[in-house]
Amino acid sequence: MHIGRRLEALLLSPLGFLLAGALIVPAGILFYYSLYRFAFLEPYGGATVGNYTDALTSATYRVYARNTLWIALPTTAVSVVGGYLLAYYLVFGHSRRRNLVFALVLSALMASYLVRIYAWRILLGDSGILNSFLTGTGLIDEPIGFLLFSRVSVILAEINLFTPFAALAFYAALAGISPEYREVSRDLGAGQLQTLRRVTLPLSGRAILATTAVVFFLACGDYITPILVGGPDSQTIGVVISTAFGSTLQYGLGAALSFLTLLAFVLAYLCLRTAMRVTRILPRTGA
Amino acid sequence: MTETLKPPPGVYSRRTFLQIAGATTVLVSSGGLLTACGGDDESSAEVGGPFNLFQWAGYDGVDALKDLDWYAQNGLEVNLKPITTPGGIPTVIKGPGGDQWDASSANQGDSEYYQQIGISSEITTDEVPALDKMLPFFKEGSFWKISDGVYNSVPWTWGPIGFTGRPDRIPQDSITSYQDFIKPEFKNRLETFDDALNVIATGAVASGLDPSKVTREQLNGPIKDYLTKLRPNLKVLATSLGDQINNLVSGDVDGTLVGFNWAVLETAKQGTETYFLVPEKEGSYGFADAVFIPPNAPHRANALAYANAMLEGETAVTMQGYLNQLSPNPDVIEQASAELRALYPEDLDVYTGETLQWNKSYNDPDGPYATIAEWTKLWEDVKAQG
Repeated sequence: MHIGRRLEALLLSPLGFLLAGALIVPAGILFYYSLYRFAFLEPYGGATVGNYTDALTSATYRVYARNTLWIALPTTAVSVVGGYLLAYYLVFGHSRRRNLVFALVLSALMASYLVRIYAWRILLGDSGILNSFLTGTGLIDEPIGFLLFSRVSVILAEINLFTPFAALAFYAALAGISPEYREVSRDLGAGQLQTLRRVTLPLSGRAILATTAVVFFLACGDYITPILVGGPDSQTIGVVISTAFGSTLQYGLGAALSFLTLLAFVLAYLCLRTAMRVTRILPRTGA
Repeated sequence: MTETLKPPPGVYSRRTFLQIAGATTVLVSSGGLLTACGGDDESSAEVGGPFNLFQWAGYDGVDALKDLDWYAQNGLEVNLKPITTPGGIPTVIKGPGGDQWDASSANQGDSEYYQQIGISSEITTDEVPALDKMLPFFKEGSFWKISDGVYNSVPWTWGPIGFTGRPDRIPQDSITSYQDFIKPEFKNRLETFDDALNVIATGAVASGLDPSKVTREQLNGPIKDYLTKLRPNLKVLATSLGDQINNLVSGDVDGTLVGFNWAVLETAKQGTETYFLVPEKEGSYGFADAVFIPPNAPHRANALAYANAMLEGETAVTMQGYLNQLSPNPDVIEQASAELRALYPEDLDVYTGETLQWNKSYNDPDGPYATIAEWTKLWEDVKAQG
């Protein structure tokens, strides 16, 4: 059915207004903040790029940026690969247990974010389930201390958070692929692996790009998980931004860090898109 | 009397800018998407009706005073929003929709600051008679008193901050100084509350400095040195006081800095014995929370009733027992349980006025003392030292 341009614009306008109101205007305010120093909750002095230079030249923020990457990269890799495998099984598998697995994925998404993070404390703490089991069975003498309040625990908790999300996104993409493409591929002599590489992956390329980008951004921006299950070496840029806005009220610095993070996200997205095009996972057109 | 700082000419104040941006948004979205969730305009001298309270969870009295039915008996319909960070207090009160709040909470270090930025109003002893009944340190203390009979807020609960440890892991008599906490034997065994205000104050006291007057030289000198040495021994940066207790009980840490004395009673409830100590060599600092009332509080009478109830009578006694923290009012202290009273020394006048030190935060980047932003930056620097 053809929809007239005016009707199309009318239908889209609420979303446009919402984006304008809830995204563009606050972003403009945030950008304004980033150009001023703050004291007593007010900007003082003239406009300056000092917040940006402070953020870029500070050795401390470089450490936090590195921590962020050391957490976000493995989290994204495992969540995306794991989520894709799960979705692949759910769409193309033949087992009767698929429904059960699908229900588990959905129930994981429904569980409270905080409950899922705190569950890792019960699992990994010094007197947690894992350490109790290992010491109880005599496999170790002392509880393993680095399991909790470390970068490892943050990565594990975030993988647990983001894998079901990635799986669901991939499920939608894979379920939309006509089975005929895969059948034709096999009729032409391609094996399962070759069909996956030459047919399924490219057809789900856009979903892979989008999901990888979103999981990476979420992992980079997550400041709750590092606070709750991380240790002193798990402080991330997200935590610093949160502190700038919530504790020290250095809105300018927090805003500058937010925009630099946004810029880094855009660069990361472009790098990922290029890499996927080079490896032919992402078709040249679209995306 | 201090004046509210204004931005220089030609620079929009944050409020003005937000107003312009807000108006633009309303026009663009034509749906009032960012309409501030402002309160009603009713203002009454009578106690009763809505009471909009921005307070730390548990300090609001909603649960603690349930048996007394205090809110209902006074006809108060409490609308509660919990505070999550100290920095969030001025943000919420001064931000869009902030004029709906009737009362909130100020640490002693922030009381004067809140007055400077215009989010707290003067409170007289006529309005809160219990102010006259406080221990001398609170009644005369410069943190709260503006002039005779006039205060910037109503202090109502206080205590010392020190070290809470597990005796099965760290014998109590093995700790006599803050220098003990930086010994290599404690590597990855300790915890602290992750809050620059308290961590830097701890570093100041550990370095023999007054936490109410920390200069930049002191901050980047002895305080930084001490915290840098402490850093390898910190396994956990706790996000809340409850978190500190949980980690002690679970055994994930052996002791926690920025510890509160009442934690001993809380861990005991969970079957774990702990002790609270103040290193005898350097001493420690205290905290006091006060109720403050924004100048435009729509239900000021309700806020005044709440402040007075926190400081005297059965309500104050109940809150004191609920929080396991003493009141500044001797009449209320007299009714503390023996268990709670034992957490504090006998002579409270000497303790509050001489023994304990008190931290204070500064916010003027051109002032003589390091600002809270500089405290936080230093703490971030120390945390980044892997």
